[in-house]
Amino acid sequence: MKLTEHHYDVVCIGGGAAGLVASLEATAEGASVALVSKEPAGGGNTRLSGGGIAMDGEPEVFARDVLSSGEGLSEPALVKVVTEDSLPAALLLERLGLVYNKREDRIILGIRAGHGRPRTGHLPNDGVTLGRTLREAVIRQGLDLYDEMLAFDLLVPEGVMEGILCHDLITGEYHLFHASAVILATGGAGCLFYPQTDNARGVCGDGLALALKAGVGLIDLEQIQFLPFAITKPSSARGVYCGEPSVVGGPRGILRNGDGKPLLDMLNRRTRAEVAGVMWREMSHGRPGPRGGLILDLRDNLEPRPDNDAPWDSTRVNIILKTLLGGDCYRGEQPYEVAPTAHYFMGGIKSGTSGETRVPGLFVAGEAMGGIHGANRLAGVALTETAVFGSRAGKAAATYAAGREGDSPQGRDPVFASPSDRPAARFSGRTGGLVAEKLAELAAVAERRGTVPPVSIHRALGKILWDKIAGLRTEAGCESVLTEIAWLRKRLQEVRIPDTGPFNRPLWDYLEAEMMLPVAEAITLCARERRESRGAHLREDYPDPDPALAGRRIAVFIGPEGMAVRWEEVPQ
Amino acid sequence: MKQAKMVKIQIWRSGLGDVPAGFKEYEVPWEPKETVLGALMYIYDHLDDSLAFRYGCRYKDCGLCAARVSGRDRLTCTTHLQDGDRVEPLRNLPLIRDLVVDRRPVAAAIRAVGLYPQPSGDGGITGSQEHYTRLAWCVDCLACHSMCPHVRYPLADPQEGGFPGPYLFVKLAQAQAHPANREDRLPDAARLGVERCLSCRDCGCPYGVNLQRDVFRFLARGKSWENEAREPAGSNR
Repeated sequence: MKLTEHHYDVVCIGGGAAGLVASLEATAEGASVALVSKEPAGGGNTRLSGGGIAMDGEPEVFARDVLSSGEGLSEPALVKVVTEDSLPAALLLERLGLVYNKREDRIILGIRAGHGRPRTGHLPNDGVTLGRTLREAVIRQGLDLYDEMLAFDLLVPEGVMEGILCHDLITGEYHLFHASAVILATGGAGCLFYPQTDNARGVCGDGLALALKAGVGLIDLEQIQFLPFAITKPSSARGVYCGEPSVVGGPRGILRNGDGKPLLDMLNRRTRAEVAGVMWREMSHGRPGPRGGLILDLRDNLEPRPDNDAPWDSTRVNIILKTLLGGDCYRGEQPYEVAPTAHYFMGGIKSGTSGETRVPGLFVAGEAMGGIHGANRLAGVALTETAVFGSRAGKAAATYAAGREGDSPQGRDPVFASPSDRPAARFSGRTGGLVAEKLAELAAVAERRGTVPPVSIHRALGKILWDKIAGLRTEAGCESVLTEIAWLRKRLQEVRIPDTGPFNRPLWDYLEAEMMLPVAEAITLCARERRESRGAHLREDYPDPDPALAGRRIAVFIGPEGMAVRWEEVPQ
Repeated sequence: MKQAKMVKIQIWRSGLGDVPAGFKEYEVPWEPKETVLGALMYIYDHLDDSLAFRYGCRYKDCGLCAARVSGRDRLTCTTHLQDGDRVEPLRNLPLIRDLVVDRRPVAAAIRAVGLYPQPSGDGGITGSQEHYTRLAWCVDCLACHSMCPHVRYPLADPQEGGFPGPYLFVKLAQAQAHPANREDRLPDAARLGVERCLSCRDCGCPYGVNLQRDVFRFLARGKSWENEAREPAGSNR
């Protein structure tokens, strides 16, 4: 089993906007930086995003909107930072080469739901441009990119960050990165609900799992944003987002159940939550369509009526349908089935205002971070957050690493010793042992020749999470998820990795499943513990908010007895 | 549950693992609008997880799932599945496994030739927002690179026959058209041999970037291109 070693001040895991900005800022502070990314850097959910970036020169006004949508779970200190830095961060992106849609040299700001005024800038070809631009910026900067590299273990001997262990999908080799600072910019975990997600393939909560294992708590994990409308076919595009109800519905769109009975009209006047609430109820207890979703019927929009405000042209807003479902759905002539899709994790890793965590040397940025959006996320703020906290975490990580200069791990490592007389005062010397142990374990997995394809664990997990805790949650539903997770843990011991060649996706499926199961467990424990409905968390058995739980959040962590939850006050 | 209609699909296997090199036939379910990517995912999930292919977003943003489907270079996520389709890896790139090509030579060339904008805070000299926006539709899928009859790496010395192919000219055009770009890249385009693309019609962007007009003629003719930009698109498929 080949192992290549690298030495950097800072390693950033994740090649979306947060990781790219963090890497650039850490480099600008003088650190040597490696960017490790499962997809080619510049990919991930950043690239799939709508490209809306919220910015406001009056942060207090902006902060009021964010706090109000967070329903008491947003941390004011984090919201203050993200709103105060929103404009500087948006301009930092522009300096890095990002092109905004402009009119007469000014960024065009749009108004989005929940925002009190227009403050959201947009990009030509949306997130693709953001991802590409930031990738270009890191290449221009000369940064070391490690594309298609999976980080699956943090090395934290004695509670201090010392590096990460990775697998290179292309070569099949293992890589050990020694670094005194590590930034988790791995995004959320929408793919836990696969296929019912609009997230990129690799977004399955790696960073959340790594943080948990390293002893860092996660907060608000029960708060997961689902977008109401995603297409349900073709099979490869199930879960792909197909537009806001208020936009694609037009003035006379109707949502029907599987029997054709109308459930909701006037979609252009409904909030996301209203639409989703009706959908979850019908899908759980009513008559869903043949693919488990509901039928979106836009035909009334096409009827000429005296009271039509304006002729309705669905082809401006339904672009993706043209290719995937065909011209009749695209023009609104043919109803099609839609279902909600897992979009964004409001919760995440517990951290301070520069992304620092309780483990010295471990930082977080972007969607992986919790505490900003609380119980709901406003459109456009996610990308703002990636730039703001990417920048802050990158600088903080570089500063931290500089403080440990001279602490070279070289020469202190009993397994991978290389001759060196550089001092290594605060490195433990235990990294090599941890690495050897993990690699031996993986060698055994590859040899095992069991019967379970690792991808089947992903699929079984996706199914149970979608069935039981995507929409309306119950105590019993949460229990059944926990039982299934325990069963899947056993199945994971019986996997079959077909071979050891290059592009060994089954091995990645295994390594990812090892991280997905604890994250799924953490979400379920939080969903069970919050016995009320608040924000994106809907309990069928507790349909109303409980005033006693206002301003209180759930932290989940791995304690001496295993995974556990704890209530805490949201810091004010 | 009603029985799904099944179709046959031939997929290139590169001979790693237990599967011999050559086309291997699989039977997969079909329904209207099913995609080639859907077939690949079905095979991976249900029939054979040793099949290697890339995908990311499942709809046209990540550019990772491109392959050659029945002789045409496409994103498999937007290509409808037909009975008897043959799926091969993209050309002009080293093969890693099955449908997975090595994208690293392209990434290395981008780095080596500096194929990225040099934005300046003081405003650019060579670009335009409108032109840049048209070029922003490129999703880096490398389909055009696969179509090129002339690609030859390494690029180090064009006199020796190195030729970057259309995708790297798209990158160069994006740099040149960037509204804040301050470095004229037309000499680079000439040095890399963009002239050759003017007389060749073998590549085209499946997703609507007008390569002839917005990339090749733009890079080959510089300023005089501006008058042509108003002509309707259509020289590409």
